[in-house]
Amino acid sequence: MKMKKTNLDERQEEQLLHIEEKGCWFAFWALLVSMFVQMAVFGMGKFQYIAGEWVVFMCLALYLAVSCMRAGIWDRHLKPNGKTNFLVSLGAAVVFGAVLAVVSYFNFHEWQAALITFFLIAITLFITIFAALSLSVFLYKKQVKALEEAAEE
Amino acid sequence: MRNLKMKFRRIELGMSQADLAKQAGVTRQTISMIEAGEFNPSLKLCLAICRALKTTLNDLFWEEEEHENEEN
Repeated sequence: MKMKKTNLDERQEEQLLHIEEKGCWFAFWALLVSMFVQMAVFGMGKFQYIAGEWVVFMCLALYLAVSCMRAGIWDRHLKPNGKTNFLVSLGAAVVFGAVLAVVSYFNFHEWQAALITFFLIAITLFITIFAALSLSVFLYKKQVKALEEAAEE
Repeated sequence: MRNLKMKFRRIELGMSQADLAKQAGVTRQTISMIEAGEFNPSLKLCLAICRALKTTLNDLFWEEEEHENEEN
């Protein structure tokens, strides 16, 4: 049986892309939530329980980041600059620090430990995310320059 | 923005949406959505529609600026 290249016309292709896009982001956030829920239930030290989800999540995140970078795409709304990097890093550090502090509280039932967890995680995450974003901005700008030069006549 | 020019031309030639869809290589639903202004076709598809309706891009898809503003 000879396979047709595609059975869809351009409108259907566009709709399918929208459906796949929503499915991809649902899987992304569902994996993240699933990992946090499992950590809360089984304890933070039990990495083997979330290993499968973690590998898929990291592959997906890496694929999205590298593909966007290669295409010279940063974000729909955010601009690639130091101020944005600072705010995004701070927001992510506080949110994930708080989530892990709650998980820690559920595991050990000690608010002091939860507070220490929050500060340790938040500070570590802030430094890591800010450094990763700064490196990404540098690579993004380099790639945009290369794409612009390649697109010249 | 509804594409009445395309719809009138198709009716003028006695073609159904299904006939036009077949000739342009798309689904009937796509033709319906273009006529209703719910889908913006690519230049490639516009050309296929123009060929099927034996007319030009100008006749089917060009809008005067004033008219475009009225529609918006």
